[in-house]
Amino acid sequence: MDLSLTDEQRAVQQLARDFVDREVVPNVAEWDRAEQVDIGIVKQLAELGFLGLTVPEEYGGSGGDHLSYCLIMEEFGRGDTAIRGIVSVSLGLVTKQIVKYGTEEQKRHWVPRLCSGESLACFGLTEPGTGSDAGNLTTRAEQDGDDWIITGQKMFITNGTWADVALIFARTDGPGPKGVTAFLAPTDAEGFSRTEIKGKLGLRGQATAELTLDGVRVPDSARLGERGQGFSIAMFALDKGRMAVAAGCVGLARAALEASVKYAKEREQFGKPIASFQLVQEMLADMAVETDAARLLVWRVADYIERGLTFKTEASMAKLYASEAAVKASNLAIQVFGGYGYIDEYPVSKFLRDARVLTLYEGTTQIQKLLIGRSLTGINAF
Amino acid sequence: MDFSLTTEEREIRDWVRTFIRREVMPLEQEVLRRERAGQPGLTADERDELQLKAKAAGFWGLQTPESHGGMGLSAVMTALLMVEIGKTFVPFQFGGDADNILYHANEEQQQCYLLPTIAGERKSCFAITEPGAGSDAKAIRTSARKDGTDWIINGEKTFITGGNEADFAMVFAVTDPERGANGGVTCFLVDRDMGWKSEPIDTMGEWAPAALIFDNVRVPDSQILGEVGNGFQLAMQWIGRGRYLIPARALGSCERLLEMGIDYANTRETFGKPIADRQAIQWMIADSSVEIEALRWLVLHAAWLVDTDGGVASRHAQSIAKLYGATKANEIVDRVLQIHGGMGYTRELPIERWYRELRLARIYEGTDEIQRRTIANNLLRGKVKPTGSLG
Repeated sequence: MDLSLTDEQRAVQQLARDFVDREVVPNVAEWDRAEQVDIGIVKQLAELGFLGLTVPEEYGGSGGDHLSYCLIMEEFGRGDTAIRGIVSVSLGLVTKQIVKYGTEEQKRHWVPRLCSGESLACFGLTEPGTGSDAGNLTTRAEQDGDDWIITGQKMFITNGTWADVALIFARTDGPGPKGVTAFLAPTDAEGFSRTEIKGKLGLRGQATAELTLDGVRVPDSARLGERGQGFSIAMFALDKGRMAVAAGCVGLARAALEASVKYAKEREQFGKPIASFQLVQEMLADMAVETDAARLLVWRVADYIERGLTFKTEASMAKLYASEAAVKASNLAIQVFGGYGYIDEYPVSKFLRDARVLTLYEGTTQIQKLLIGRSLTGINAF
Repeated sequence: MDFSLTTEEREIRDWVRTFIRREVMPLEQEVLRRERAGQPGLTADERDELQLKAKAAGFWGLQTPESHGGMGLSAVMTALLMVEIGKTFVPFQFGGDADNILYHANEEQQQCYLLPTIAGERKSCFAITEPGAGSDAKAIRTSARKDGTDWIINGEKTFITGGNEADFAMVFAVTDPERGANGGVTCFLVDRDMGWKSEPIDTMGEWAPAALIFDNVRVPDSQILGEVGNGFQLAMQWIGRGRYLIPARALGSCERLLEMGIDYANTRETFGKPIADRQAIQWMIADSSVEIEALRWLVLHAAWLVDTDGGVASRHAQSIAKLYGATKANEIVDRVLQIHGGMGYTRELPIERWYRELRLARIYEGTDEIQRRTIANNLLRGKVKPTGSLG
């Protein structure tokens, strides 16, 4: 057993840390208020290779292992969950699936564009009526000669209004998960419209959108994987995606802890820093314990992936634990900051607002518990 | 980074796992029966016999250096074995280990205390806690007054693990009240036949620590361990010797308890189907499983830092593992009891016994509150970064 990082992993971590300190941290409050990050950041992310992590270099990727990916996601999560989401959705949920399931033509066409930031991707699984129960989605794709005609609605789609390509999951056959097929649909196709969802509790800088597909025509060459394989592609993407989300959660929890430690030493009450009060120290200690535990659960998933072991349940555990830890840590951070934590001149209220989505998306806390419970008991309690 | 165990580590662990399953777990029913009749779960002879069986296979002195006939295992390996031992409530421990501070003894003392303790011929106890000094160990009042070349010890120690069985005590006494913990505390090696008495203290667990009474106990100068005045440092060294071992053991208990919970959930039927079909039950199982995994890596991470770092980072990680392990073990045993319903509350099953035993984990070797204080202080004084040793 060896829990140390290699020099290369440390270098990539430092690169991400510096990038976040320079390009993200100074801007987050403004992006949050404007409900819009500076989308120019996508190009910057690509230039440093962050949009091509773990993707083979022959397709324009920047290589690297899964732990490096987690280290970077932690730094982005520390800076801004909205930024972390851009990467984990475009790269993690879509680009990587094209690499794994795509035809040579699809790979040559999309992957270099996505890695270079020329294009951005979104992942169209969730619908207004199917969230946790994604296997029963109702968007339809009908065959018409060599083409497919896709009709339906997608909901809560991260990167939705920015994306150039959407990985759309649609029903091509009978009911349930086996009737679902995946398509790479260009978002400028006729009949494809997008509306940004405003007024979110958190993740405000992120373009979360509702997608409407009204008879969108794509050729059969846009189909990703086999007919009927769509749902298993989605699940595979989400298994690894959970690791990335969890790594982002670790970053958010750490940001809450770092801000709290700093503030507790500066803020004085009753003639001494609030850090000298035990009830404040308890909050700091509890945040530190859960952050470390979450990070180890995340790293274990990365290690299992690298060693070719199954990691589904481990990824669910990491996602469940880290997202709940992020919510708790950011809530405690507000408590440490008191009234100042409640206003957006200080960073911690945004942490809580952003953290709150982490126990919801990419599999709610409840879904993770059901997956873990099923793996332990062999009984499906869905 | 590599979370895997070496083949050797797995082999050693598997041997102990088998040993615990074949030799120790079969005693559980008898241990329960005896404890409920007010007797010790395991007699000293039975414990010695088990230890000798393990010794025959080379398991003796897990952390005793090889130069002293031990196995000299790493902290990671020891933690892995402690998990296995924790899977049973039978009060078993491998033999052949001596307190770390006895290695500071001089040549003559080593012959008299260290070596016989390693050999299992003598039993020690560590006596610092007093009725008025628990977490605040600096507040001890037991005194040692110089009288010619002897010292006269007076005072009372309490909650001393092994104090009823020990034939010598490592006693911490104030030799210079002016300096207190800062150079005024000295450690003495005091044989029982030098005149101290012990009294068992009944607890809610199946384990009785002792109160030790020192009433004008006279000991010669030659019984001082280390130097006059460096007792407090020795005490801290003893306490810090392996804080990760407590959560490691608790981890094993949690694994066994969760196994019991899963088996019961799969077999117990209500309203026509196994209770494992119910989401409420699955969630208790899932939550416990997630916390067990988090605990496993906090413990192994702490042990790994003991092996590779040994400084403040390892102490910090040990406090984190101890706090988390103690807290979660109590939550997990409570959930497993809940899964078992009324049966869990009875003495038909050992769950209530684990429940009583695990409560101690939040108190001894540094309460939850002391661990939190340590963790927060390390962060606030910049001794460790919020990124931890991992970032």
